Amino acid sequence: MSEAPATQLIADFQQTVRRIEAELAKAVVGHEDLVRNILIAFFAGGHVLIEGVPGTGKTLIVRSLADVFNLSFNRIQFTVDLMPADITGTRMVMDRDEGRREFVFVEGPIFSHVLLADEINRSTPKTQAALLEAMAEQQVTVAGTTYRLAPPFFVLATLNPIEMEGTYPLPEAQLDRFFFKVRLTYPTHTEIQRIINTTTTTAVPDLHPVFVHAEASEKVMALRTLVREVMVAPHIEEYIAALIHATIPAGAKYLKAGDTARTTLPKDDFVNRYVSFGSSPRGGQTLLLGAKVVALLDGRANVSYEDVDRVAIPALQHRLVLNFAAEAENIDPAIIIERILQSARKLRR
Amino acid sequence: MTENQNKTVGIPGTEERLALADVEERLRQVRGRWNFHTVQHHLYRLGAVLALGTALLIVCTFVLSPMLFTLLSWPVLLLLAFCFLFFVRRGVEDWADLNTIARRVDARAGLKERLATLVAQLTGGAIGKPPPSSLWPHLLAENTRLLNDWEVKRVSPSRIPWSAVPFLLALLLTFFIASIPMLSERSTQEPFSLANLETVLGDLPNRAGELLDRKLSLLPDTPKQWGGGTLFDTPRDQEKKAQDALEAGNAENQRNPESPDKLDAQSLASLPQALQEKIRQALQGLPDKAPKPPTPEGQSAEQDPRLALQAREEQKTPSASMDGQGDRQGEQSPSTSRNRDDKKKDGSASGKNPGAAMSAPSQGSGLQQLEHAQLERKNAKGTFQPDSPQVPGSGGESGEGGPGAGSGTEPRLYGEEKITGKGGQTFQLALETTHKKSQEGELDPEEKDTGGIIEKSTKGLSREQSLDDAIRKSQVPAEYEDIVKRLFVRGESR
Repeated sequence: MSEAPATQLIADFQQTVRRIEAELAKAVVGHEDLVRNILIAFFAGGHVLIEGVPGTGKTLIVRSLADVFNLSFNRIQFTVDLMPADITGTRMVMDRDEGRREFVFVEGPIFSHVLLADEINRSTPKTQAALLEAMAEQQVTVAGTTYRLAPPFFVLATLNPIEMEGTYPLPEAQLDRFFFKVRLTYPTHTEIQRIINTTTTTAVPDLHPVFVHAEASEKVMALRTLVREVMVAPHIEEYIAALIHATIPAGAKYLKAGDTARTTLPKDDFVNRYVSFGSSPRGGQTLLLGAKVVALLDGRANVSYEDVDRVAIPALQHRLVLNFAAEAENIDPAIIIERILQSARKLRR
Repeated sequence: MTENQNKTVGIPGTEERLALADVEERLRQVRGRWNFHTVQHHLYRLGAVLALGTALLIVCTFVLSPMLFTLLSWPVLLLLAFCFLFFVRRGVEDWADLNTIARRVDARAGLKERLATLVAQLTGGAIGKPPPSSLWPHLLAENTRLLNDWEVKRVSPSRIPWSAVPFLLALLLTFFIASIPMLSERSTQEPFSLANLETVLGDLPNRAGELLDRKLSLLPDTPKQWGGGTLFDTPRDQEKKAQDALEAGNAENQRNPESPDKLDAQSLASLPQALQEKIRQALQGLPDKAPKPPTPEGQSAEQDPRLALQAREEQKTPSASMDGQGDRQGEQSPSTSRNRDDKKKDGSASGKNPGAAMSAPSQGSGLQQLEHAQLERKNAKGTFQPDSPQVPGSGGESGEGGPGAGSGTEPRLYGEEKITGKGGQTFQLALETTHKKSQEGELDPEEKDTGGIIEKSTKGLSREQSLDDAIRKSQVPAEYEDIVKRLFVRGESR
């Protein structure tokens, strides 16, 4: 029995992530959990929606990440007048040497490995929808022609929750395409001290790329493949399915009748009172993939209950559509998910 | 790892296969213990329910009327049957497979689903197929390394489940409830009345001591104790049976008259089988002693527990019992002394002379009860002389009753009975010396010290007296005397 290759793969994964975090820590003060969640989503192949007040380092985190990965990076500042073609690219008439003119597709900023969609809720839904196909299918279609995006493709979108006037909240379909939604909290007292100290001098943080640029995409894709090699026991899959079902209120529409397994799940009253629509199956995929990354980071080749719980809130909180009562009572989706996790622990027997 | 080993999982003879076998063997051991625990758990729960149901039925038997009992017993029985099926079904459902056991082991040993994932791959048919993941060797290596973290004893449940405790309690309760009718006074028709329960509970230590003594004694026929009838025989029925048995015995004796000499040698065992059985039924709940061969003359009385012989010994050395030096007899027959002690708690002399209290009761109490009966009869007839030196009432000095008991049966008592011709209604239970006195008027000085046990003659006795005499010679203990006395009183009142 030779375990060395497998064990080495896992060790490499852990080491890579540690190095990335260490490099990011040079530029980003605090936010370790946020960085870890972003990395989990990145290696799971998902996209991250970051919600936070202005000036808390959202853009800095994304830029630093691209630098550390040594991948191509683009930033799009979403505004009301931003058009889809401004994101995806457009066909332009180009003069050739022979004097001929022809349409040539000019790639938009979406053609990069790491894309920062800053304040995505400030653009119109039409523009926002331009990201849909790219995020889900990793391809764009312009004038009937489909263009593949080079892997890895990673979108980091930011939301400003304060200035809601003149904004367009993201539609549920687009929210569902984000792997995680993480919240950027205010830094702590000491973190603020460090931030103002390190950013007001001439010193610029020297970030060392973890990968060589030529091999970066390959390395990242290899690590993403390794994530999917993590094994899962059937009862863990049952647990994830139960969690997803538990987010769906009892009286919700579009429930399949006669789902006997669903009736045996623990149902929290919070869900029925405050949730209009529960998570989609994509939430389950997110839970499992995120749990796999967590397992690898823990040096295991299998998923445990704790791994699933670890990623439950960032994976599900933007997938719950709360009703008016929840908004009126200022109920946070994270609270509902916490309660679901508590009630679902009975399933672990 | 060779190229061949990379292709499939669990090739026989490989290190991987050995590691898998180790894990599987350990897991099967855990599964065996876990399933055994599960089966025990459900059996104990089922047993507890059945025991409680049985106890309920026993109580209902005595408390409810036949109609109500019938109405209640069927639902109870149906409920018990339902419980039986329920627990059997639960037992089948809880029978754990390897996957379930692996999950439990993971939870108990904190393996973070490593074992469950490995077992899930194996039970999913990974053996003989390509590895399910490139990380498979790592998973297997981790499980092999963590084998020491989940030893069988550590992750298995306890050998005896907690449900054994309620089961044992239920069983004890059931036995206690079942024994209440047997521990009750025979005349009690409602064994589960509060008064009777108090009596039974109060008498329980004595009963336990009695049972212990009986176990320690050499008495035969222990299976016959308390067990002649069914639980459903009312005491009145049992007394009626005893009465019938005595009458049947009388009738048989009338049909086959025997010489008095032969009757003298008759014991309970020599009685007809039917009579013996009926007497035993009538005397159920009391210790039954098999007849012993007559003690040869000159044999030490210490080896014979019979009352008559002890009385003789006491008569020989009255000072020994009077001054409390006769403890050895009490020691030799602990059961009888204990019984007598219990019945003489009100005896004033027992406190004054503990030595006598230990020795004398073995002969005093039975006779004392008989004397009480005779006293009652005499009072009824108006012939009792309270100034007699052998006044039974003075048996209140029961602790000193050894010598008094020996001469407590005044010869004229039976003489008068003979004269009045009412022997058929009297019960003569006395020592042979008393009987001889009744026959001859005076004791033969030569026979005073013989210590004889066997009645030499019953001449002049009526047939009923002869029967009673036969019963007496069958080493009837005090409880027998009590029962016979009651029967006699009933017959007399009739």
